[in-house]
This record gives sequence, C-alpha cells and structure tokens, in this order.
Amino acid sequence: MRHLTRSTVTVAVGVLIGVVILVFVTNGSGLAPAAILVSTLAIATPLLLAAMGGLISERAGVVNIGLEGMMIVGALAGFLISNATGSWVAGVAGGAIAAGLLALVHAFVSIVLNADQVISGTAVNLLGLFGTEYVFRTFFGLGSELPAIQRAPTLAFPGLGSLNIITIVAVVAVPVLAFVMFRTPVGLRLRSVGENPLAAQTVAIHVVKLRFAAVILSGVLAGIGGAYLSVGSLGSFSEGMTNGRGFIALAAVIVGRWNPFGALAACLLFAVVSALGNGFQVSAGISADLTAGMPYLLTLIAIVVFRESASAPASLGKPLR
Amino acid sequence: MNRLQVALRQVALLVVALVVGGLFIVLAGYNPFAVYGELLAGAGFNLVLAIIPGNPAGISTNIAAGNLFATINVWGPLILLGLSAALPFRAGLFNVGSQGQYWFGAILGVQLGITIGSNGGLLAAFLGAIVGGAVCGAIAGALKALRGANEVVTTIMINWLVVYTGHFLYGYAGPFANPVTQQPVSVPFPEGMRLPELLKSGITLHAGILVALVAVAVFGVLMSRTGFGFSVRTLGSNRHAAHYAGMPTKRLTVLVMGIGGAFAGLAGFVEITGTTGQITGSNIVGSSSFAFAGIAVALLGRNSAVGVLLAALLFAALQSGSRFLSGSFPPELASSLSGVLQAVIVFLIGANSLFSYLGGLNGIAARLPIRKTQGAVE
Repeated sequence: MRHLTRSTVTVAVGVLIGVVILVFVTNGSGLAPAAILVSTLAIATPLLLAAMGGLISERAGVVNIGLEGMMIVGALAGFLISNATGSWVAGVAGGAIAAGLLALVHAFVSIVLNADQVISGTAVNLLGLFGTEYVFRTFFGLGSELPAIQRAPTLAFPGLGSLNIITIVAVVAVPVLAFVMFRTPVGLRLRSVGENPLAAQTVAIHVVKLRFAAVILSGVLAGIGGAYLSVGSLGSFSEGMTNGRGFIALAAVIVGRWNPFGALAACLLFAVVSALGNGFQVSAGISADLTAGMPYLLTLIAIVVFRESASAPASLGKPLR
Repeated sequence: MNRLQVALRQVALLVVALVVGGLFIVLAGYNPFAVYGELLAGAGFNLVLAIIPGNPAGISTNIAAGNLFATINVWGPLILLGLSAALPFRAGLFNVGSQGQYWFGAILGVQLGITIGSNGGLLAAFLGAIVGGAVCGAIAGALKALRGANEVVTTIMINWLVVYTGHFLYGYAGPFANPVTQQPVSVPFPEGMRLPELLKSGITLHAGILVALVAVAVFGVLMSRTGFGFSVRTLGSNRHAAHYAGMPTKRLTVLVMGIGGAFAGLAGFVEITGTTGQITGSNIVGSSSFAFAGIAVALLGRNSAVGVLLAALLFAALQSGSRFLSGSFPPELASSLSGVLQAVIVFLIGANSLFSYLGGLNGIAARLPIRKTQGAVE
C-alpha cells in the first residue's frame, strides 16, 4: 500500500503544480487553457508510452536505458510500413514489432549472457540512432523528398479539442498497467522477479521467461511511442526525431518512483512545461531553443529533487545467477 | 589471460563487427570489400602502398598523405573523447556527457580566446575549454555524489541543455553569432591564433594530435603511477572498499567526472582551433554521436591508454575515410555505417563475458544502477 499512498501524493502534487502553472501562466497571456491541455497530452503521449515500457522492464529487474533507441526504431519502422501498406494501423504495429525485436536483443544480451545492462542499453541506443539513419538514407538519401503517409486519426472532444487515438491509448494504459501490476497475480510475479528473483524462483516463478516478456513488452510500448511521433503526430520521419524523449521517459520512471501514476505525473509535468514553452514561443517570441531546453532542465531538477529511493526494485540491474 | 590473448580477443571482436557491418553494406546493395577498401584509401592508409619502391599501385602520394592528415586531425579529438569516457569507466562511472562537455568547453574556450585576442588567446582558449568541460562533467559528478542521481540520465540531460543553449547562442541573431555576416556561426577564430601547422599536403596537419598524445600520456601516468589512479581504480572495483579504506569517494566521483569532462572540452578546443576555425549552430545540433563515440572508443580500447589510441585511430579512419570515398558508396551512408559499427562493437563487448576481465569495469556491474546503496555511501 505504501506505493499507492505515495503515488497518490505524487500525482496530486504533480497535477496541482500543473494546474497552478497553467492558470497562472495562461492568465492574461493570450494562451487558451484548453489548447495548452490538448498540446500537453499530445507531447506526453510518446513519453507516457515509453515510460510505461521502461517501468515494466525495470519492475522485472532489467534496466532499460535503451528506450530512446527503441523509440526511434519504432518511429522509422512505423513510417516505412505505413508508407508501404498505406495503413496507419499496420505502421504502428510494425513500429511496435520492430522495437520489440530490438528489445529482444537487449533481453537476450542482458538476461541470458548476463551482460552489463547499461552497456547493452547504450548499444541499443547507438544501433537505434545510426541503424535508423542508415536504413532511412538507403531508402531516401538525405530525405529531401518524403512521401506522405496516412496518419493515425484524431477524435474530437467537445469543448477541449481533438486528441490522437494513440494519445487515448497511452492515457488508458496507465491505470490498466497499475491494475495489472498491483492487483493481479501476473503483476505480483513481475514485481517479485524484480525484487528478489531467487525467492521468486523457489516458488516456481519462471524468472527468465518473465524478464524476457517484460523487456520485449517495454520495447513494444516504446516502439508505439516512437510510431506516434512519425505516424501519429508528424506524418513523416526525420533522423533523430526522438530527441532524447526515451531518456526523459526513463527519468519519469525514476522520478515517479517506479509507479505508473507517479510516472504519469512526471510525464505530464514535463509535457505541460513543453506545451507552455511552445505557446510562449509563439505568443511572446521567446527563442525556440530556450523553450526546447526546458523539459531537459526540468528533468534534471526533478532527478535531483526526487532523490532516488528505496522504491527502486531491489534487484534492478542484477542478473539471475 | 595474458595481454596478447586480450588483444587478440579485441581484434576478433572487431572482425565480427566488420562482418556485421559488411552485412549492412550488402543489404544496401553494395560490395563490402570494395567499400572497406575505399574507406581505408580514403583515410590515407594507402600511403603504405605508395612507399613500396616504384609505387606499383600508382597511388598519388600527395593525395594519400593529405587524406592521412585529415584522419590524424580527426584522431586527436577522438582520443580525447575516448579518454573522457575511459577515466570515469575506470572509477565505475558512465560518462555519456561528452557531447555537452565538448561544446561547453569549446564555447567557453573560443569566446575567451576571441575576447583576449592575439596575446595569449590560444592559451586562454585551451584553459577555457578545460574549465568548461570540467565544470560540465563535475556537475554530473556532484549530483551523483550528493544526491545519488544516475549519471547516465543527468549527463544526457546536460547534453541537451548545452546543445539547445549553444544553438541559441550561435543561432540567427544569437548573442554570440557573428554580428558582421549575420550568419548562425561564431566569429572566426583568428588565423594567427589557430593551432600551429605541422605538415601540409593539400590538407594541413595541425598540432591537435600532439595535445591528444600528451593527454593520453597524462592519463596513463595518472592511472598507473599515482595515488589518485589507485584510488580511482579502487573506487571502480569496489565502492565500499574504497570508502572503508578511507578514500574520499564523493570527492573522487566529482573529480573523476570533472577530469573526464576536461578531456572532452579539450576535444572541442582541438577541433575548433585546429580544424573548423569557428563554432556553427548546426554542428552543435548534429553532434549526438559525440556522446557515444567516446564510449565506443573507451570500451574497445579497454580503458587503457594504448587501447584508446588504437581504437580512436580505427574510428577516425572510418569517419575520415567516409568523406573521401571515390563513388562506390554514398558518403552519407558511410558516415551512418561507422556509427552502426560502433553500436555492434559496444553490443559485442557487452555480450562478451569478457566484460568481467575489463579492469575497473567490474565496478559497474557491482554498483548498477539505481538502487538504494547507490551514490552516496552513508
């Protein structure tokens, strides 16, 4: 229960800060709160999906620093497959599968070969960054002329605006994950594998299998997050378009203390700052570079303020020997 | 396992990486042997063939020498980036912040140098780059030591902060952008203040490589001959043992990240005052590979001075060679290919149980990552 109480506090604080910032800042600045809210949710979507993925993997005891690489692979695969099939569903599915395969490599290297998980994750990021660059340039050269792809549809919410369908999936994923994690046997097993794998093994939980499943699922979610960027919001692809979002998602997991609602609060906080920054860039003419830097500064501050704590899974990063 | 066996293992690993890279080349529809051959020639390594009596391959020695100079000019900064990851690795710390440290050092150094002018401007740039890089690294070290903040995440966040700040400073009408030309670049670093030229054959070989070689020597001596090096290695193999032996683990963490950052700042100094002559906003944004190049160099070179030299030469050749390809492979693919090779090498090193043999790297496995004992030893 400790987790839930703490997460409730975190969510409350996060939402409160968000609302205060929103009201305080939009008041008299010409920014519409509804527009900022929609934009916040849009910005939060890829962060949320990747953070939920990272959370699952880390709860099972496997560090996933490779979220960024998995996201960019999802973004490129989503773009290529939407382009080839003409269907956004196929694109998103393709992005999920491609990133899931990359996660499979990470799982194999870290779980079976007992490799250092940070090194393996670094390799995932490198392969994602340069591998997608290589594949993209093979198809499109330096990307001067890109085909238009079918984008994921948006749903209109009266009085608010329209939200991408993937955004709704991402938001719904949070309570679903929290329920599965804290209220079902599967979730209990997953957490036990991350806390004390040897104890889990003695009660006949298949540690290796569960960890594999968790890492692959984390790749799938990160891949959907990446595909949201290309297929969902932009309708195109550009090299390195994830721009460190995987690392912000990872930070959200830490700041949110490995709890889905905590990570949600962190993602929303980062997103609202970005959304306001974008708003001001237009309304007040603040440099795009400075507003673009804000989420990274905020992440840094959040990491320092919300000191990493005992809520981290006890066996995080330790292979089962 | 003796030194020779370890070296052979690294070479075997490299061969596997080249084979995987070859697969990538085949998949894009090109001939890997031709591409690798051209990369070596583009890097100027065919100069070796040209000095065979009579020059049977008919190689232009001038062009080959110029290409080799270009490779060496890239080699210097890569050595320094490698050191910026290698030293923290030896202490069990993962410095992914080379990119931010490089640019923060370069910006501070260049602006300081330009301000001071011809009387000591180059020295000021040198010192400014060291200080800038060191500050940038030490911040991550301090956050780690005092707050237990995961240095992988903090260094990456600092990278982005520096990148966006730099892009702002040198953006259109940015505060440091060239006021005369209105272009998003810095004022050119004055010609008379640049790093001295050593040799010239179409392309100029500048003194950057000497800076890098001195840095490698300093690193080697520091690690193997001083009490500081001993403390760093102890910290890397067992943080708690270091603490109970009375070593100032927190101060060491800050210091190690700071020195690592200084190496990265020096890389920026060498590149700007030696090769490019000015800071360009778009270069700052397109530099995400810097953060990882140093890690790949350090891992392949097993965090040793000699290893870093050799690994950096390899990546320098790949990077430089891709710029002078004679048409069998698109250059933009070649530059991504060298990144893919880095990725494969890092994977192989991670996957190889060789890892446990890697000196100070033992420490990483022991302290990984975010758990309650991490960071501050109470």
